[in-house]
Amino acid sequence: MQGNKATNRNKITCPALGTTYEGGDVQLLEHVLPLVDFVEVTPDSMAEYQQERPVLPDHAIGELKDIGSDAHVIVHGVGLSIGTHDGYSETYLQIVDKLLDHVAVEWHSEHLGYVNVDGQHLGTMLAVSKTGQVLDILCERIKTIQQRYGIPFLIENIVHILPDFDGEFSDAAFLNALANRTGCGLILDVYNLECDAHNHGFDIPRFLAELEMEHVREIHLAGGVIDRGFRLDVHSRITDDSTIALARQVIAAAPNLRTVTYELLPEAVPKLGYRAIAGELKRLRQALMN
Amino acid sequence: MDLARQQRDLLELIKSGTLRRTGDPYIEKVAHSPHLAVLRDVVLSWRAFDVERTCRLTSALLQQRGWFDDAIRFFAATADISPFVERLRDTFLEQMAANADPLVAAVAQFELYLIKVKLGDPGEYTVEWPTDPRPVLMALDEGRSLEPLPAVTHQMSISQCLPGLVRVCEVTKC
Repeated sequence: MQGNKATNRNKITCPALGTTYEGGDVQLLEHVLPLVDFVEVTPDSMAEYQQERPVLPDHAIGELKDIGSDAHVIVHGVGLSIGTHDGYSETYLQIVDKLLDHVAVEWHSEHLGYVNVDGQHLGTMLAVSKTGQVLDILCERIKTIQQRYGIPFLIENIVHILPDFDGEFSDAAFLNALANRTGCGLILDVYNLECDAHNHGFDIPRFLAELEMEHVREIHLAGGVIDRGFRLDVHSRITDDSTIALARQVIAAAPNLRTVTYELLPEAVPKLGYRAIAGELKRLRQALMN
Repeated sequence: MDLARQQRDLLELIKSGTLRRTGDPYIEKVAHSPHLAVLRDVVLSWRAFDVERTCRLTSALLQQRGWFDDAIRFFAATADISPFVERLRDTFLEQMAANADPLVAAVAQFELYLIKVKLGDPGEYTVEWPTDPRPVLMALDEGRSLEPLPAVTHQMSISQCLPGLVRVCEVTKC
């Protein structure tokens, strides 16, 4: 056994440790699986475009089933586009349908944002405007998704690259309202909070004081880069000490927290290397779970 | 707030960097913020990354000619780009296949049709080359600079029915 992880997947630390995986990298799995309790997969990143539509290939399903014997699988999408004005992506949910038909998943989550407008992909993800109108739309959509899958659904705060629209809600009040009205859980991405603080002067202590922490079920951690003075959410590095410190603060305040997930883009894996990634997971377990 | 209008305006700003319609204070604020330029650069860099790794030969030729960055900017501004990399690849190659430069068009057509045939497309595709494609493709594949080549029109056929999937001949000798 490596690290401090229990070999039995049912006996996990609290909070547990997770990491992201987007398929097709057996060596990465061999390095990280002994060190984590949860593996977070992005179904649309694992999908392949076949016959004019994205589908989750059978080899990906097989890989996820294998992972499921060693760790808990959780699903974290990027393509739902829950905030798009005329509806979320049914194409994305069809990928999730297939995944959930074959793989046992603890919960399903998405970003509080949108990537499509009138069927066109933005090439990025934008934050929703925090208005009563948008809140109503989102609550209805979250309830529909909860009914469709019957497993917990979590919503994550995203990084705000563009200036915000002045809505009626603060960021925390909007997340509180979503969770209270639908029963959904929250993923708190603490690196995104740091990006917002760096790029827009976002007040993290005020946000955390206002957020109802009992809704937080998962924390996301990552390391990124600063480009021309902007802190970018690219998940390409190991975690900064400041991000770990912020995560510790949230862990202490979130009574229903289940896991802390270290996010890393597959494109960053060759640059960081398997040993450094494994080392980072051990460092995070040491820093956050003791 | 008109939610649909706001999202369409932001889409237009990200794709083109400018806006035909003005008057909305929030959209004006975004349009004049330094954040928009950074966001557009991030989007472009991901497009370039995806194109480079999936359209290797066409990207190599565009880079040799110093046209790659402009091609990516034009692609991002004009094409309906899928988040799925296979679809993005095909869209880029389809756009480059219609390029005014005959060699860029030929390399893009070659990459596009070869992918289709390898994926099981039963069709037979023809590419017209302004020169012998073999030294061109070899140089691009090996990362070497293209030497000046004689302007002799060649025809390439790509099909599952052909040994090695590809056949090349000088047009005058086909």
